[in-house]
Order: sequence, then structure tokens, then C-alpha cells
Amino acid sequence: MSRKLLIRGGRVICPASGHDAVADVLIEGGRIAGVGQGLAAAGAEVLSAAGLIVAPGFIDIHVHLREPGFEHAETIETGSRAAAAGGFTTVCCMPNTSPVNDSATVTSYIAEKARRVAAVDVFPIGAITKGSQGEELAAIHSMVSAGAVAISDDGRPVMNSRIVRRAMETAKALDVPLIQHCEDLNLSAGGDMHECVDSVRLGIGGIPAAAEDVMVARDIVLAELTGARYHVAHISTKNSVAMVAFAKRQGLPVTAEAAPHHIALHTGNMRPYDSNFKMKPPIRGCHDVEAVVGGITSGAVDCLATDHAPHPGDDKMQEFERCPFGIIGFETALGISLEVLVHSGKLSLNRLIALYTSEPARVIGWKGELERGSLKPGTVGNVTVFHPDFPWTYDVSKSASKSSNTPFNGRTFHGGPVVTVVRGEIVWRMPGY
Amino acid sequence: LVAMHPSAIVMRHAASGAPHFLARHLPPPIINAGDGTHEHPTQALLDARTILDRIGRLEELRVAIIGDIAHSRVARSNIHLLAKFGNEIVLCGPPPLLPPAMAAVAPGVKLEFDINRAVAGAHVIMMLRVQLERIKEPVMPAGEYFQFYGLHADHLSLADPDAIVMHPGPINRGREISTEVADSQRSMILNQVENGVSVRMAVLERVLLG
Repeated sequence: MSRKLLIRGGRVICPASGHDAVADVLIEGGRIAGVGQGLAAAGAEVLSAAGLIVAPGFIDIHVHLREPGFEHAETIETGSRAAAAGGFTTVCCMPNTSPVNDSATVTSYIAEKARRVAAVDVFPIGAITKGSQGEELAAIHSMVSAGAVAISDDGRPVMNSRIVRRAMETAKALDVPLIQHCEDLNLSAGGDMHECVDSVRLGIGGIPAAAEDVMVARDIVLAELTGARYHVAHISTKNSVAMVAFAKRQGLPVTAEAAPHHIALHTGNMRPYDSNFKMKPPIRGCHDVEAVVGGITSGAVDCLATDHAPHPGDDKMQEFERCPFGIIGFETALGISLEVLVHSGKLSLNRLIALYTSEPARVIGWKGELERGSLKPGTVGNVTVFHPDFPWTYDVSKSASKSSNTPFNGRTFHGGPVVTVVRGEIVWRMPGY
Repeated sequence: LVAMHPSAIVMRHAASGAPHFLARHLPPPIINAGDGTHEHPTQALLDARTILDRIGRLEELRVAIIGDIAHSRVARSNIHLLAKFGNEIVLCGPPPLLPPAMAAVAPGVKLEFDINRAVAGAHVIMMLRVQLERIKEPVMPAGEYFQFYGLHADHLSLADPDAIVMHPGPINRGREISTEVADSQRSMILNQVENGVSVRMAVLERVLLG
């Protein structure tokens, strides 16, 4: 396609190239053609971005699209539409589908389906072990050949240290990161929320912070042993952040992501027995939240990722202990991040954009023509246009997701996505824009 | 449920918070008859009635609650009720069943792993039912439990001379309480059961008639 799209007059912020100025962005044939003034835009569709921020397309490296197997909760198509409505242009989907994505067959299925129906770019993450049961390695070479960009058993941890070691050795050889959902299942057994005074008072089983910490500690040791790129999924505790910071100081290739809900909510914000506040890792205490935010500002935490985890209404409308873990997150991610990190004065807008663009791109490490996370000419034409502070209220009934399990329904945010561009096509516009 | 137009619902459920969850979605009042490990309010009320009957007051008491505190809704409700009167509440049990955070649940709560120190000077000793086979927590062998956390007759000599022994029932003889103590003059267990009827009648009357 030699279609042209000119995004005109926005404040173009590209952390990867250090650009922060009002400029135009030209996309041609699905790739960034240029950023600046007076670009050769004859015959281009024009999108006005006056008063808005124009950034590289946001990347979410931790999402659950539920297809194949759980299409009643979400599909690749609906999940991708929700992603686009959140300003995301690239997502990496976790393998806890049914069947689990532990083979080239399922990896290819997801990649192929996404190519046909997804509104955004979708990259599968392959499982570490067969069926994510933690017992035998999955067909990692085959999955990576079929397009998997990382390996993880997310949803579950890999408990067996020997298997984690071998998986890391394999990941290192294939130059993909190993992403761990850090949770010692023996410490967390029976737990449904963060272990604290509230869990004891409410009679809900507790998941101690230690359940995450012991595994982060073990994995960092194995990362040092193997030299693999190791990434902590949804980091949530004070100690985890401290250990990742330590690992970085040692020069180890250890990275971490945080989910917006883990910086927006602490146990004091939870409505008792409301499953919209139930996820893993659980919403933690305020000291943990402070530490995660501190990790983001210090750089110990590399990027943000939503862990978008849809569950159908019936599943989340049960006794708290029976509800599955997880909340959706695409459409509230930017609003939450702006509020907690930028409007509070803790982080610059530029750095926030990096947390959604150049940083997740660095964690995954897309190369060559798959490269993304910047507006460098020649790179994929994915752009996120957003307003940095206009007020809007989240109404989950209008969500593009099939599911509505969120604690943020009705919450007012300041700043949010306005237009999402994927490969030069506008895939989502804020209603009325 | 709603189609049956109940004036009230009495709910006993294995999941903590089940009545709270239901109450968010249904119109009739819901009386909590015990939800998971969270609360058993009418038990605490009938326990208070029993203490009042025998001791004559609800304040200035040292109350020892002994057993699987972590999983006990009876313990939690009694803690909340007794703390409102400024009482000294000593919780006692094996460490895996006595989380440190319990001390922060209400004022006046102390934790104790030694049953002798827990019952010393106590006016009320509440024994909780223990079902080690049921809970998934690694604790201690059942026989050892009775030796270290079961209530025996000689413990009563450490307590207040007029101390009473209570238990929400049903009791496991030889597990958390010796037969001798369960059947002794100090035991208020049957009084508790009897008071349970009138207390629940009162609750129903209050809820239904306002």
C-alpha cells in the first residue's frame, strides 16, 4: 500500500530519538516516512493532532486474548479492539489459552488469526513448559520459529528450578526473554488477596508478598548463572523491586514490568469481597505500591504492561474466593498512568511515553523490519495520539472488550487516548473525534 | 430467591463475604449465620448473653480464646464484640493457626502460644473446634495438639477461681477439650446452646419488625 497518512500539528514526543516538539508525522505504505515540517504529503489523508500528543504506537507486552479456547471471555479480535481503544498498537499475548500455546501449531494459529482479524499487531508469547504444567520443556525452538517473541507460563509460575534453568539456557540461545509470573504456589496456596490485617479481618486466605519475593530471588540467581534475559511480570512488592534494582546494579539482564492497577490501588482501596479487585499478584499494601512507583521513577521497573485479563460476568459474580483472578486493563491504562505518575509530578510525560514504547520494545527486542517503539523513519507506522489531561469518565458498558471485570468503572481520568494508528491505518478514534 | 419474596434471608455459607456479596444484589435483609472464616455474629451475641448470665458483666474481663484462630469466624466475632467493652483478649493456638496480624484486628488483643500463660487469670476460656484433617495448613499431629492446646482440668486451677469454660460446639472430646472439663460445673456449653435460641429469636424479631 502506498497510502499516506499525515498526522498534523501535534506535539511529537519520541523518547527513542529524543524528539519533543510540535511537528507533523507522515506515514506511507504502513511505515513512518518522516517527522518534521513540510513533509511530502501530497494525497495524504490528514489527521489533525493540534493540542494532542503524538507518540510512537504504545506496546503492551503482557495481555491475555483468551483465544483459542476461552472465546466467551475475549477473542483476538475483540481484545485487539479494546487494545486499540486504549491507545495500544502492539500487544504480546500470553499462552494460557486452551490448548496452551506450547507448540508451533498454536503459535501459528494465533499469529495467523491476528494477521486476519486483529486491529493491532499481535505477537504470541510461547509457554515455557508443556501445558504450562511446569514439568517438561515446551517446544521452545519451534514456537520461536513460528513467531513467539518470548516464553512464559504466565498465569502460573515455573516452580522447578532446574526447569527454569534449562528454559533460561534455551531462551538465551534463541535471544528471547524468559518472563516469569513470580509466585511460590506453596506460599500462596489458599490465598485470594494480599496477606495483611485486612485479609485476616475479612477471613480471606492471604497471599504473602514473600510468595513473589522468593521466586524473584531464585530467578535472579538463575539469570546470573545462565546469562538469560529475565523479565519479572507484574512486579508488585517492595522486596521484588529492591532485588531487581540490585540485579541491575550487578549488570544482569534483568527487567521488570508493572501493571497500572498495581500503582493505582492498595488494599485500603479495595471494596470488601468485590472480585473486581481480585487478581494475581493481588493488590498490595501501600508500602508495596509506593515501592513499585519508586521503582518506576528510579528505573528499576522498566515498563508498564496491563495484564489485561478478561473474565465473563458470570465468572466474576460469585463468592470472592471462587472468582477467577484478573481484571481487564487496556482502556484505563493511560488514564491511570497519567494520573499516578505524571499529574502527580513524579514522572515526565516523556518518560511515561517511554514506559509504553521504547522500553517494552527494548525488553522484547524486536529487530529489523519488526522493530518498533519509535518514530524513526522506516519503522512500522504505529502511532498513538492522546490528550495529556482532558477529563473523561470510564464507562465499561461501552468497552470494546467482551468482558467488564474492572474496578475502575465510573472513574474520571485526566488524559487518555484519542486516535490509534496501526501500520498507517486509523484503527480507533475516540467517539466524536 | 427474590421470586419467593422472603422478608429476610438467613444465610450460612462456606465462603467469607458470601452474605455481603448477596446483599449487594438482593433487596431482602440478609442475616449472617456464619460466613466462611469471617464472622458468626449471633454466636458472639449468645456467648455474650452467656457470660452476662453467669458472671454478671461484659467488661473488665480477661478472655482466652484457644484453638484454630486463623480459620475461626467465632473467634473473630467474639473479638469484635468483647473489644467494644474494653476487655483483655488473649488468643492462643499453634503458630501456623495464629497469624500475628490477629493482634491488629481489634484493641486489647494479645497473642500467646503457651496455653498455660493464656488461661492464667482468665475469667472466660473459649475453646474452638479444631479439625486438623480439614485444614490444608501444615500444623502438628492431632495427638500432639491435645497435649499442648487441649483444655485439661489442671489448666482450670491457673484460671480465675470463678472462670467459665465455653465452646461454640460441636465439641471434639479429647481433641480440644477433655471430657472432664466439658462435663464440669464450669462448662457453660449447654447454656450457650440454650441462649442461642432466644438470641436468634431476638435477631429475627429486630430484623423483621424493625
